Amino acid sequence: MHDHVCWGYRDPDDFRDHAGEFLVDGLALGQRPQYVVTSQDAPSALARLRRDPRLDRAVRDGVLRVTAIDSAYAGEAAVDPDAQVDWYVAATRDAVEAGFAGLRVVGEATPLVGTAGQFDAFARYEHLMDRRMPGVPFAALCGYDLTVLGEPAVAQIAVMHPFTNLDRPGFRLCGSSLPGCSVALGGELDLANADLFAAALDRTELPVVDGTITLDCTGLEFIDHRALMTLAERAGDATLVLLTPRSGPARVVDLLGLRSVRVERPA
Amino acid sequence: MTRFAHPAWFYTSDEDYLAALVPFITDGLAAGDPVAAAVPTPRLDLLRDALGGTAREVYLQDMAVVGANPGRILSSVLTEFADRHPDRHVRIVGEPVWGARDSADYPACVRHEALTNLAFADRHATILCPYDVAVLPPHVLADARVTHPEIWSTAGRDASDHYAPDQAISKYNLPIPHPAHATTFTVTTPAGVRAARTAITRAAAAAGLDTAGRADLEIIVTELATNSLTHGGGHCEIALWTENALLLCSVSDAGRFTNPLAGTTPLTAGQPSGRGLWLVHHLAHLVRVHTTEQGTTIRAYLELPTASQDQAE
Repeated sequence: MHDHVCWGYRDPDDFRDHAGEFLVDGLALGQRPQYVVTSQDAPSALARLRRDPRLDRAVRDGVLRVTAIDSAYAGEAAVDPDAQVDWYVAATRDAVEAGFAGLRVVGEATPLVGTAGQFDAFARYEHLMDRRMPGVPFAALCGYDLTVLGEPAVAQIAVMHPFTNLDRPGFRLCGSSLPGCSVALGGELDLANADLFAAALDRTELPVVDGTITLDCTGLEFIDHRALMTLAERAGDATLVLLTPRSGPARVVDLLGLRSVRVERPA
Repeated sequence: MTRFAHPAWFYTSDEDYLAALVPFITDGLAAGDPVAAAVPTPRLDLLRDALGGTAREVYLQDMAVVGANPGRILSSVLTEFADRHPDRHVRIVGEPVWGARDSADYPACVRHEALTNLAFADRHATILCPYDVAVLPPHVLADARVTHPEIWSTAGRDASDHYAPDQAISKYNLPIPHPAHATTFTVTTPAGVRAARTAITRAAAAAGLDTAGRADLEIIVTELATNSLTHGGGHCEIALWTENALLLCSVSDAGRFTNPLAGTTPLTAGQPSGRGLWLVHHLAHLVRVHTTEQGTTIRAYLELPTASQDQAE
């Protein structure tokens, strides 16, 4: 899976140490490192990163760039999800043109999701970005401060990432590299995350191709009948195709007679 | 004609069997009633041969297959057929109890027969249930008199003096405790459902349940635990063990089972809930229920693969 991680933290220094490892991995891969943080927090973040001699050198060489987010996201303005995706895709292209293997970004994103409108727009951006990532040499570690946002809120954004350090969500709705799929549903869906799943679907436009929504469910370990019905409902008039090697979803679809849903084995 | 009739037919021989069933079917067809018959093989072959060309006009099913779990008969056999003919009086032959049937199924069979009266109370249908007097023990025939308002035999057709379906449900509302050696797991939070599913499925794999069976068990455990958390007092205990070639899984909670038909009648498109137990009935080989004022236990039986199936995998 593509390298897109949601990291909830309680201590910024813990996050920055983890971010440092993430960026060092990127240096080894030849990716251009970038650190996105408020100008207020930038000095302490940078100081922490520079404890690692490899990152210290990357800063001195001008390879590791720090981008301040204050100017772009001042006040209560929310991101434009599509524009934000385009911006990072262009930045990745720039990195490749400059001779890097790709772009590797760490973001301290908490200040970007302060209001309900910002939160919703950023969660949509996270999902759309994730859908683009399988085809773009772009990797990102997104840090969210649990002491500010609370774990339930961070979980709503975590589900848009293939990887997270949180236990709570239990599932993910993210990008897919399976041919014919642009969205993957993974993990386990049941009573515990039913509300989280509905909220994630609220922020996701499932891609309809020729009247069909095809979801990569190769990583979906379990889905209960309620989540399956929620999904079928959200597909509207489109036929929903779930690609999975497991027998459970087909059993439930057959028994409940969900005519708009087909379960197929991935090629 | 009465709206709903539910006679038991006490027969003693193949000749008896056909002497009542063939006219019941052909008279029904002559009157324009849609007719179905769900009886176990080899009775099904006997009936089909006796009907000759008429058999094509009757919806014939093997009760040993469609009624393998007695808790499915109401939804997938009886009501399913009646619902396909909503404006018509239907005739159905249903034989849920036969001599060679596993005795573990029997309490669920009686419950099914009793619930048929409740499910069809307001419907236009005649459901005739053959009982083989030659092989069935006396207590089974006594129970049939309690679950059927009418008894037909070669001596004639009489109202049953013992008809009291609620009593039959109570009589077979028997405790179904799990043995001390069962693997148990307690669920107290929604997040615990996942942990229970993982633990129970792992134990089932160790007990020999195959991949497809484990996928079914995952659904069964999840649906029963979800019901316990949402309607059954908020927590439950799950137990898993094997008996011969069966894997048994029970879920006990502090809830009361208030609608005896829950999970046994067909689903309707818009119903907001109630699909969980219905799914369990359709995935399991057998489902038993025990409910009291203090709580409810639901036990699902799954068949373990036989040695020859193991080799085929």
